[in-house]
Amino acid sequence: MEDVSQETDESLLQRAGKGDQSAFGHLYDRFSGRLYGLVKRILEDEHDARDVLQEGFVYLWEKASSFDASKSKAFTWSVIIFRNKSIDRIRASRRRVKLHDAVAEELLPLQNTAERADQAVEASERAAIVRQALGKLPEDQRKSIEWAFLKGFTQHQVAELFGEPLGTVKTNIRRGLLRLRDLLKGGES
Amino acid sequence: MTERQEELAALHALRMLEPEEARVFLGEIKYAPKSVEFVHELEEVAAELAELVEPEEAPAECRAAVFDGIAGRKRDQKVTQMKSGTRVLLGVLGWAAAACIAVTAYGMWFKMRSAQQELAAVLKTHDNSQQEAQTLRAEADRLKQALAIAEQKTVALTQQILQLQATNPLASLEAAALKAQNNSWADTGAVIVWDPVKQEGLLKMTKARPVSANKDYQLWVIDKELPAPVNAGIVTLDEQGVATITFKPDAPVPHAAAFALSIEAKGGVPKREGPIVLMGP
Repeated sequence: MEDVSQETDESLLQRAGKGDQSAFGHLYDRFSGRLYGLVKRILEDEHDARDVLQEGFVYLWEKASSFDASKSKAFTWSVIIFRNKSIDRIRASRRRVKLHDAVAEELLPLQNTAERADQAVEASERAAIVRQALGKLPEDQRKSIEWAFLKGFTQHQVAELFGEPLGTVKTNIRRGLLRLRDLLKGGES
Repeated sequence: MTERQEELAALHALRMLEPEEARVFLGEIKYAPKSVEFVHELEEVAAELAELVEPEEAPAECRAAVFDGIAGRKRDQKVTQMKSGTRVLLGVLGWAAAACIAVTAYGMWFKMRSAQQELAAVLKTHDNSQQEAQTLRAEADRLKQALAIAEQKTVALTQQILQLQATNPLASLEAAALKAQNNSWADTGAVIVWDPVKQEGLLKMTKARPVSANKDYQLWVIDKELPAPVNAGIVTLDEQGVATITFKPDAPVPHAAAFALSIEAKGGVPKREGPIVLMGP
């Protein structure tokens, strides 16, 4: 059996782009758990999550040849595809989480995750870096980004959810993402 | 990139824009590679958050379904290995499909050509508008120059007039004959030459009746824009009833409209009180 343990995600995706099903299979094995967790979290529906996972991977196979390793990482590139598909599904079905129900959960989406993960071994080094960076954002910026990322909320929905002016939400998202970018680049302590 | 564009880029990276807002924003940055790159960079940053989501094992059947989906596409490409009868039928169907594709392709080609023509027309309109704008700008520049020249000419002409007035004192002089206001002064002749620039004048009066010892003739200059006639001094006759005096009003009279002679108390008064006997023009 082919040993790909040392092969990067990017290399596997590039091989898949050239029609290598075996490489694609390995990529599926590496990504499917994290991507399924993500789409299930966004869609909050197992059946929809399963559909999106299948559609997403077929789409990934079709588009793999357009992947540019100099511009993206294979995983984040895949996340963008799967997240977009999830949000498209939510918006197409006009299914909306009732905002007051969302607030009733009280726990922020990733904060919840972070608390659980703190008790466990870090899944990956990168996850630890991202968690640390996210933790350095002011709370209003962090929660706006988290809810938008995991719920697929529009700017208007986030404003409504937190009872904040739209301008504040926009500013929080811009500042938060820019700071996060700098932190992940290691440019800001 | 402006702050507003950064905001939109961040919102777009998280899919927080409504479809129409996203469409407008993407159209706005379409030809700005740096902006497109910035959006992509933020998308990558946002995507990193997925690292924090707890993985969950995907249902086993998903893997098979994915590979079925991929393999299905391959099977579509291996139709030629089927039996000959089926191949004939599929051949006919193939030609029909090819015809459909050809028609569709023609339709697409036609639409594309229309779109190209439309684009060419829009570009032409754009070019025309630019040319028109250029022409208008040139016209505006030409008018500005003409205005500047006209202003220079006006200044030069004004200076010329002033020079002419200075060199030819008669150029600005005005003359007025005063008429008797009652029969007693019907034979009296009175002519005034007035220089509005210098604000001074000359009165020549003949055959004027003498006034009583406690009275004097007094000259007034009338300007309709001033509240009252302006005193121009008393007029003293000689024994033949003739007077020739130069006068200068007590105050400036910008628009002298008439001159008047009245009979006032000896030595004159600051404001006219007595009857006007001569006035003109």
